[in-house]
This record gives sequence, structure tokens and C-alpha cells, in this order.
Amino acid sequence: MARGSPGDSVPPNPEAVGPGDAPGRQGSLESTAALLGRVRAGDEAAREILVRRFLPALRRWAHGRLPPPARGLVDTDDLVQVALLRALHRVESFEPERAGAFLAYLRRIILNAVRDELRRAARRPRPETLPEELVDPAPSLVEQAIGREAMAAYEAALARLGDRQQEAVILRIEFGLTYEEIAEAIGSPSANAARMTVSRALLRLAEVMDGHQP
Amino acid sequence: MDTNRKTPTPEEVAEAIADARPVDWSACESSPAWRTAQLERLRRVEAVAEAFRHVPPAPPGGTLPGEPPAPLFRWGHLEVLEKLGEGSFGEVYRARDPLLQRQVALKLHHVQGGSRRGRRPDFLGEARRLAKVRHPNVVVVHGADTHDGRTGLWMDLIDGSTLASLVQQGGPLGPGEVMAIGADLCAALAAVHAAGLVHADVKASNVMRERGGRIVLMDFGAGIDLEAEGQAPVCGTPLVMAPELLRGELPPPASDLYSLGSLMYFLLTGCYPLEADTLPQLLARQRRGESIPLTDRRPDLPGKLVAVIERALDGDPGRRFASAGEMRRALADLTHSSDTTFNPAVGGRRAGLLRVAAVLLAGGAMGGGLALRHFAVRPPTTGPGTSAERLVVKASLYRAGPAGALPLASGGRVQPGDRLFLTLTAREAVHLYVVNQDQRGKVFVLFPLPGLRPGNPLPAGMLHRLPGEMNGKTHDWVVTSAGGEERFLLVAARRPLPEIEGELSNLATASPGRGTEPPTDEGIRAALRGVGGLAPAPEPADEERFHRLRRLLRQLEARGEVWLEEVTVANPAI
Repeated sequence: MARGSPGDSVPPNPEAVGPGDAPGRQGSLESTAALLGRVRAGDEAAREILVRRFLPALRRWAHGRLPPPARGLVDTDDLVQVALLRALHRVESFEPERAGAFLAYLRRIILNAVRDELRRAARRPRPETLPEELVDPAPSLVEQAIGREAMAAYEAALARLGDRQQEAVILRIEFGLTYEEIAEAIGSPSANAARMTVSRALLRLAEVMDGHQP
Repeated sequence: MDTNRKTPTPEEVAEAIADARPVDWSACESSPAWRTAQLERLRRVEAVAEAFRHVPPAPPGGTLPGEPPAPLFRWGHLEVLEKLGEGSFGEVYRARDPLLQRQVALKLHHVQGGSRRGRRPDFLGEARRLAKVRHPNVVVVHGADTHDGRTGLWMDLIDGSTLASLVQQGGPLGPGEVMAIGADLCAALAAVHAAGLVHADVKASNVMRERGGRIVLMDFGAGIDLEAEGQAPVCGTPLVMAPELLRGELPPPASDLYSLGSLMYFLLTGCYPLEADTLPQLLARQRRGESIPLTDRRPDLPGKLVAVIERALDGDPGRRFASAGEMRRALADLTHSSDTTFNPAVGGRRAGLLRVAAVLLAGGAMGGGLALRHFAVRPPTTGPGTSAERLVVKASLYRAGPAGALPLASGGRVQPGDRLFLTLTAREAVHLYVVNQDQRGKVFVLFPLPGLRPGNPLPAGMLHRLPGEMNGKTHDWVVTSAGGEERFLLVAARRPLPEIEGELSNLATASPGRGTEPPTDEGIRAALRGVGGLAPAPEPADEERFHRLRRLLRQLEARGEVWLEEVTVANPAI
């Protein structure tokens, strides 16, 4: 989904990661790109900093976006953590052209992991004790709010956008980043420019959305 | 229609959605510039954005150690995460040191209440004292400071439990374990004394047993620097304090040996040698030497161990051991002495027996030393393809013979009169099932048992000694017959296992039988020789049940749903 062009640091969500990581202090903060470089060189401390930077935002996102943990299914938090750790162990194969792609990349592998998990659960021989929701997971919080079809229409429309527009929508709408953070992430010259990108991406999203009413 | 309102452009609507500002949809609807379909889709985009925005914060969770929980507050550079305990002088927290990226224990004195003259804890002094001592059995202090008007010190976070909670949860310890703990604490105190310090508050709640068995002396809040201008401490715990400390004298190092003796007494009995409700009463009893002899409470203990502890408890500091090193040597000599054996039948005499056909539950905690240091660690079990946190259970079956408790593994032997017990800890609450098949093929449920505590689920992070307690008495399983072999199935799971419980409900449960006095070991052998030797034919129904149960458990194990251990031991005919 998200494959970007050259860029700098991934913005942390200030609300989620605390004042120490606020973008206003970027000078004293190592950029995500630099940290990813250190992780590639085998620096465990950098890995831990990245985990701390991304985990709160990912957890909050997953809490809304993923099906609630069903019996027999891997716990949402565990899934997010495992996905993040695995991603950080595989950074060699991930060369973000824009560092902003990292969050979108994590989002994608988490969604894939959930799908795999559901598929695996469905394949598994089902003793009587296995509940129905394994095969048909309960709706996520977001789906509960707007309905499954609306969510599917949004996902389908998102997939029709270009990478940069996808990232702009995901970072703003799903992760709630500020425009300053988004500017850094997607390589916009300013927060205002990032705001324009997000607005245009949303307009485009509406245009390509499936015409059927939910 | 309000014609004064300006109709927003699509760009403005998109921007409002992105900024979470309200959109004037009615103005759009009334404007010929907007197409209905376009409006409808933007409304759907707004709904998606709103839905994401209103997701409540994720509940705390996750099992990865790397995830930082939200700090309760900050104290200096430390992020304070969780309160671990509270004392009269302050609180102990788990905190994170973000600079060194590790967790520490932070001791903070109370904001108020600790300011009465002479009652303020000298944390900086404690830190200075601790920093003088480097010993594996003494906690490592990292620093001390004052922030926001609160003085505190931070030190190694020990993953384990205090000796006080071990006794509280598992009952008194066996002599072997207490001797080992005593020897470790002697070594710790020797290092403390060598640094010119007296700890002055050695007690069960100030000593931790780390997971893995390391004994760590904590809390130097009452410590005294003998080189500094001397003044008796006003803190400490009266019940375990040496008489000279209670008198307000500047304590010699031998005061710590008194407290250690008192601690060992407590570990063996769950009580203190002197019991009193008030300080004057305590002082009077101390003066009159009215302590309760250890042998009265534990007649099964080897005489030499009692002598070591009572010498440490001598009211005259001059008659205690000359040094921690000397006391340690006395304990080490004991370990090799033949007098350390003790007769479990003595302790068992006080408790009724719970009789089942092959295995008895015997009352009395005298079954032998808990060989905690020899804790068997079973590799974690994980199911194929599951990335969930693995169920980690540490469990050991012990045989408490005449010479103390020894781990019982497959291939081992039991004989009539042997008391068996199980120790178990798990990182999370588990449902445990223990089943025994005796030499005749008869199957019994050994755990869970009605009337005994704890039951399922067994709480996480604690050491459980099973089968458990009834009426305040620790019980063991006891072998009463011989011949053939004994098989044990140990199963732990995160959830109750209805499929297993269904099988278990068909089986005999160990339950209180005749409250007979247990005969001596020799007596049991003589009485049961014939029974075991006859080795009646297996009972086919039970045999089939046992195999069905085992198949079921193996399937669950293969799916990573349970932790399973099977132990088969010989129970030869005599």
C-alpha cells in the first residue's frame, strides 16, 4: 500500500508518545529514518526507541480498527507488538523512500497479520468449544460506528489513491497526526502544504468511492 | 433557507473534515453548485474520519516487556510506573530509568507525615550506606536525590517475593531451605559489617527471594554507620529487634545476628520467638527471657539447627556468634552434619490423614524442606503457528523423605510413607489438574481437591505448594502402598478445561478418610507390605479413562493450549 518517495523522519504522534517526543523538539530527537538506519546496523537501543515511538499510536489505532480479541484469536496488543517487532527485525527489506511510509507500512502488515490470523483460525479443525466469531470476527469499533460496508468502501477507495495521498489520509484520519508531523512524514515543505495534500486526498477519496450507499 | 450563508466549496468541506470542524451540509445541499452524489460521498468520508476520531483510548494491555506503560508521574528523570508497596516511611514504586533504559525500584518518602522531627527517613544516608556495600546478596543502589520536595533512592528492581510473603502464602519453610537462606544472609551481613555498617532491620519483609533463588537483603532505612556519630535508630521492627536495640543502645553488628535468628525462627514457624502486643510488654518478656523455644513449635527440627538459631537469639550480644562469618560457618557445618535429618512422622503426628487408596493427603507442614533452589524449569510450551505469549509454568514434584525434600522426576522411586508435594509458579493465573494412576491402574484426582486451598485458578506470580491447605494446615500427598509404578499427569492451562473436568468427574477424588494417626515409616512398611506386594489387577474402566485423558491432553498440548508434564516413578514392592 504505502511506498513512498525520499523523505526524512516519521512524525511521532505527540499525544500518544508524550512531550519528550513532540515534533517541536525535532532538533533533539533522532529522526525515524536515522533510527531505522541504526537498527539496520544492529543497534538494539534504536530498536527500542522506535518501539516506544510507534507502539502507543499503533495500539490506539488497532484498538479502533481491528476486531475485538475473540476467544482463540491472538490478542490485539500482542499482534501489534509482534508485528512491530517483526517489522523492525526486517528493516533490511524495508527501504522507505519517505519515512512517513513506515507507519503506513506497519498498518499494512498489521492488517495482513489479522487477515492471516482469521484465515488460520478458519482452517483449523473446529472442536465444539471453538466459538463462531473466529470465522466471522466481531466488528471493530470503527465498523460498529459506521458499518462494515462503509468501512469496506473506504478501504477500497483508499487503495485507489496514490501512495502519497494514501499516507496523507491514513496519517491524518486514522492516526490523527498533526499537519507538522504529516509534513515531515510525507515530505511536504510546510504544515499548510500538508493540509492541502490531506484535503485534496480526501476529496479524491470521495470521488473514487464506490457510488453505492452503505 | 438561509441565503446569507456562503456555500462551502468541496475543498473547504474536505478541509473541515480533515480538521474535524463541523461542515455546513445544509448550505451545500441547497446550493446548485453541489451534486448530490458528491455530497453523499464526502459525508461518508466524514463518517469514517469521525469514527476513527472517537475511538476511545486503548485499554492498558500487551505482554511485551518493551512496551512502556504510561507513567503515574515523573520524579526527576525517572518515570514512575506502579506502586509496589508502602511502609511507614514511604512508598516503593516500579520506575523506569529512560536514560539507562531499565526498570528500577524507587523508594520515595511520604509527602507528608514523615516530617515529624526525628522520624524523617534518611534516604540519602541509606543510599550512602548501601553504596558502600557490594555483595550479590545485598541490593544494588543506583542513586539518591530530592525532587519536588520528595527524597528518594532508586535501586535494582528484584523480580521475586519477600520472605514474608513466601511464608504468608506457602506456610513455614523446611529446615534445609532456611539453613540456605540463613547462610546467604550471613554472607550479606558479613559484607555489611565489613563496610562498617549495621543493617539494624533484618526481617522477612526486608529480604527478597529473586526468581531463580537469589536471596537479596534490602532496605537499609534503619542502617547505622558505626563510623559516623552514633545514635540509636528509631526505626526498625520491634518484634525482631535485638534487646540492646530496643534499649536504645548503639547496636553492635551482633544485633543483626539476633534479627537474623529471629527471621530464621519466623521462616520455620510463621511466628516470632517473642510475641507481645505492646512495646513495654515486649521489653518485659525479653528481659525475663520469655521467648517460646523453637523446639516447642517445631519438634521435628534437628537439634543443631535449633542451637544455632537460639544462640543467635541470645539476649546478651556477647554470647551470640562473634561475627556473621562464624554463624555462617555454624550453618555450613550443619548442612553436612548427619543430625540435620528429621523425622516427618513427628510433624505428621499432629495432623489427621486424608486417606485415598494409594495416596494420602497428610496434614502438617513438616514434610521436609522445600528445595526451592532446585526448582525445575520446564521449557515453555507453544503451539504451532501461535504468536501469543507462551504459557510458562515452573513446577516440581517433591518427595519429602526422612532426609529432606528432593525433586521427584521420572525414573525416581517412592515408597510407602513418602510425602509428595508439588511446587508451582506461573506468570499468569492457571488452572491446574493433577491426576495419579497407581500401581493397580486406579486413577485419582490429586488436584483440584474440594476443601483445600488454593483452588483453581491458581493466582499468578506466587509460589504454590500443593495440594494446599485445609484448616490452616499444609497437606501433602502420602504414598501408602507399594508395588509397581505411579504415574502423574500435571496439566496447566489459562482457562478451565471443561473437557478435562468432564473426565475427572468420573474419577475418584482424594478426600478425607479416616483420621488415623500415621504410623512410623517402619510401621507403614510393615502394615502395607502385603497389600503392595499383592499388586491386584488393573481396573479396566480406569485404565481406559486414563489413556483417554492422556490422549486428550496430548492433543491440547499439541495445539499449545496447555502445559503438560508426565512423571512416572517406581514404587517397588518391598
